[in-house]
Amino acid sequence: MKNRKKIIILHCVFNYVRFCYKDMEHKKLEKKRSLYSTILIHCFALAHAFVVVLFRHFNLPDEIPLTILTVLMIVLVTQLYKFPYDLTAVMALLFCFAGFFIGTKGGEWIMNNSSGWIKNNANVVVSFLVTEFDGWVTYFVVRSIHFTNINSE
Amino acid sequence: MRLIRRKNISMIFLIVVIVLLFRILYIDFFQMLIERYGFNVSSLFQSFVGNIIVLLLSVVLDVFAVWKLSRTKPYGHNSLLRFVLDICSILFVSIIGAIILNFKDLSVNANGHPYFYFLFSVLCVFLFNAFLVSVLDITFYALDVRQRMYQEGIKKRQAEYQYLQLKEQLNPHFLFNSLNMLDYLVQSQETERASLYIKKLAGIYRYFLQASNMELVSIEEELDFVGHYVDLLKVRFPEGFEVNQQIPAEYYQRLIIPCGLQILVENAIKHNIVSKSQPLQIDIFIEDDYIAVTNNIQLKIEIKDSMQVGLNNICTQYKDMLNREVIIEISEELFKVKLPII
Repeated sequence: MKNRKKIIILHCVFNYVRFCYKDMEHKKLEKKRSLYSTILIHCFALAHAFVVVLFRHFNLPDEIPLTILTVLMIVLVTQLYKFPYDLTAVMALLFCFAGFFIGTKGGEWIMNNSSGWIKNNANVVVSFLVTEFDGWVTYFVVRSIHFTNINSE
Repeated sequence: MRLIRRKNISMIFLIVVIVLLFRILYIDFFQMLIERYGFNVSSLFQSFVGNIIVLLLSVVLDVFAVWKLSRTKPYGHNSLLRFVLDICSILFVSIIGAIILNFKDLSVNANGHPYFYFLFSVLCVFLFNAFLVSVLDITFYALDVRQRMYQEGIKKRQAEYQYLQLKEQLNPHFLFNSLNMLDYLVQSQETERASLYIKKLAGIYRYFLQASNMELVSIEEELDFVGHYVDLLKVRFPEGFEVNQQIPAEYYQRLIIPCGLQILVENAIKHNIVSKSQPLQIDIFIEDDYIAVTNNIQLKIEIKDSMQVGLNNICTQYKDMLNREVIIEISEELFKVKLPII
């Protein structure tokens, strides 16, 4: 009887420790993902602003590099959470269009309603803000879907 | 944590190329149509939103297309094909929408360029449908993930229950007591009783093995098994307890979770005094749509730590598999557990 009790207790303790460890690992993994997503989104937003400045300096059209950067950002953020590629492509398409329209209208609004440095660099400011918006919306959508899927990995 | 594997680089490259092509063709072409032919986006959108038939038709077709795709092509498999099918379905719905939208007024709004205006309409309606399909696709995927997680949770808990059942099979304490009793019968030269005892013990383990692979068993089989189990216990506690089962024959083919009754009988004997002076009375009967197991409460003096693993597992099994609750009623004198019957 005492031996059986010991075996059961050891088994339960072992399971408890195993689940605590797994839980800790999942929390660490989730923290890592959040950190990487934050770094990615901010870096790509800065990259967008940089590309706008650079291409404006050389008087070149900047749509293609900005589109490539947006798509890459969305792909990298979604792949942190192992989102399927077909949905990644759908989101990339959606955010590229949304980014274009918001960016265009946003730039016009800023130019009409601001002055000084912001007015002169409206497209830089808008590129940065729109990229942040795209990145964070992507992050929250993907994270909310996969939040409960962590345990399956 | 490797972010991107080598084999997925080609997929990412394809996504970038497709989105880029789309963006160039769509937006630049779109801008060209507006500037060259003087088409008005806002008036077209207003007429699209104002036309309830076209709007509803687009929504219904989009929902149908996404639902059908999610059924026939699972998410994550054949990503490129799925994406292409998505685009084709959006295009198809947009063309139908544009045709119905411009059925009467094409020449009026076209500014002398009906074909380009039709193309412009398709592109505008495509934007709306693309947004709707994207949202629907993500929603359906989220629902799919939740459903899969729920199923995995059930499988996990079922595996835990089966594991506990397997552990019970090899319960050395039960086997040790049973073999001790068998030895006593052999030493007492009660060969017939010993032979019957061995058959019942074998029957119990045979049932354990079968039950570990089954989700539900008939009440008749479970009662037969409980009968063997009680007979073995009776050799140890000849007059210490009594089990009365009053199940009408018409309920014998109804189903319950295997080993559910046995766990309840075992728990009753484990936690209560079993002696000639204080016999334990266990009753098994049908009440409403449940099979009830009751015992009089006469708890053992020494308090043993009970983790209620067996009872909790039965409750979880019923909840996961059948979405029904096990009812536990405790009064001063009576402990009652009611298991749903199927």
